[in-house]
Amino acid sequence: MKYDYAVKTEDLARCYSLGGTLIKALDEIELKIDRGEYVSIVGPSGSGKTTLFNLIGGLDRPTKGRVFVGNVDIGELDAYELAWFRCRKIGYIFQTFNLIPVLTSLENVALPMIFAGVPSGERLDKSTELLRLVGLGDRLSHKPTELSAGQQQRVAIARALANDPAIVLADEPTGNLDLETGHAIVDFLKELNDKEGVTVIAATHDLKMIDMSDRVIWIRDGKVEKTTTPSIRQGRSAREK
Amino acid sequence: MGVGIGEETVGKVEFSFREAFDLSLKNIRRRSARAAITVVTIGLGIAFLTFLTTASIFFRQHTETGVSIGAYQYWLAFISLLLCVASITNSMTIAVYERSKEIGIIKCLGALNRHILLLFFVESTIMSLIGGVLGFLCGSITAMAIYGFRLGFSMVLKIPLVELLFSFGSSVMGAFAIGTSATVYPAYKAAKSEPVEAFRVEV
Repeated sequence: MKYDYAVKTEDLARCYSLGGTLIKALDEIELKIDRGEYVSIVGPSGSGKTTLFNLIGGLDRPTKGRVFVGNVDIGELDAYELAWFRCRKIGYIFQTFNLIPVLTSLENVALPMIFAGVPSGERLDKSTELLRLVGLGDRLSHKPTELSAGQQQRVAIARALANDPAIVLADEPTGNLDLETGHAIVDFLKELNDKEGVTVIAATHDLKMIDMSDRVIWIRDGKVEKTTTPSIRQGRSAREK
Repeated sequence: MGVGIGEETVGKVEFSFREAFDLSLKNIRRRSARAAITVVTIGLGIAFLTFLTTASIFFRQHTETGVSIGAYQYWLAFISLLLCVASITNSMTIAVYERSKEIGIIKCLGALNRHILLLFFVESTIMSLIGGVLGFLCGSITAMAIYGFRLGFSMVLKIPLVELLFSFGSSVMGAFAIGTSATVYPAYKAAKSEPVEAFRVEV
């Protein structure tokens, strides 16, 4: 088997049973995302974006079909392997930041490294370095409540990068931020993608974020509606694939 | 950075006792009000029990005083300990519920179920031990003071150390047992929850 893709899904479906009726949150999803690609996933709320994220990130199991991240079939992993996968391979960024409120920025960023078995000195150095990278070198010992929303999201980005993940999964990372702060976050993610070659997959409504991406996947009612390349990258002629 | 999967096999996930201890300590320190309530609850139950055991040591030494600890008093102590377990279970359940999102996050970052369990157990053990020691001190000092005034301090000072030590040991063990039994259910529930479910909880 060749490992050409960062993420590949095969006939992926996820159904829920809600009050006796079966709801198809996702159906027949066939995706191929290259390594180092910056992909935006766009769709109205309830279209299945978050479900897709949870499946790619190993937070949920598919009802049908398969998800490959690299050469790993996530559905085949047991609890231990799944924990390792979440820890080492995926960096999660959430709309609501999801930092641990009782820990400082530094401790929040260091947390995933504990599970990766990084010794505490090294952990401290790397967390400091990452927080400097996101421009929070002077906020190391602040708690999340002492930071602005934009700063909290930057701490979350630093945390997502802690174990050098293969993929950064961002679920509406700018959804809770004002326009300007949101743009700064988008620019930063793009920079990471360009410079470090991190694969970024982001669900978003943010037009700027859509414009910056290599590819946009439109989702509606649990299915891929279309895949487009943003106009900026196409010299203003958006072409549908 | 940005190396894909494929080159390596599944590695280790780690969470040593030391890390759990550090994290628990931070949690207790920064949620000190709640921790204090739990410690005081355990402490009160243990203090009552220690009061009775210390007093009974005096009376066994000095049968001539004609005073003794009635069985009903031990019943009272037993019931107060039961209440203590119930109230700590309650407060732990709330604490876990409040932190369900946090638990979900930690699981996203690579924690296994048993790591979550470990975290809660270490936390409850630290609080129980503090409660146990404080309870022992309060209970025994109160008993010594009260019976010292009543029966004379000369006999209180002659209390056999071995028995006092035994009483200390049983207080701490009792506190540990209370804390642990109260944590089992909430911690187990917390450890089992999937991150996706945990994120849906709104507190």
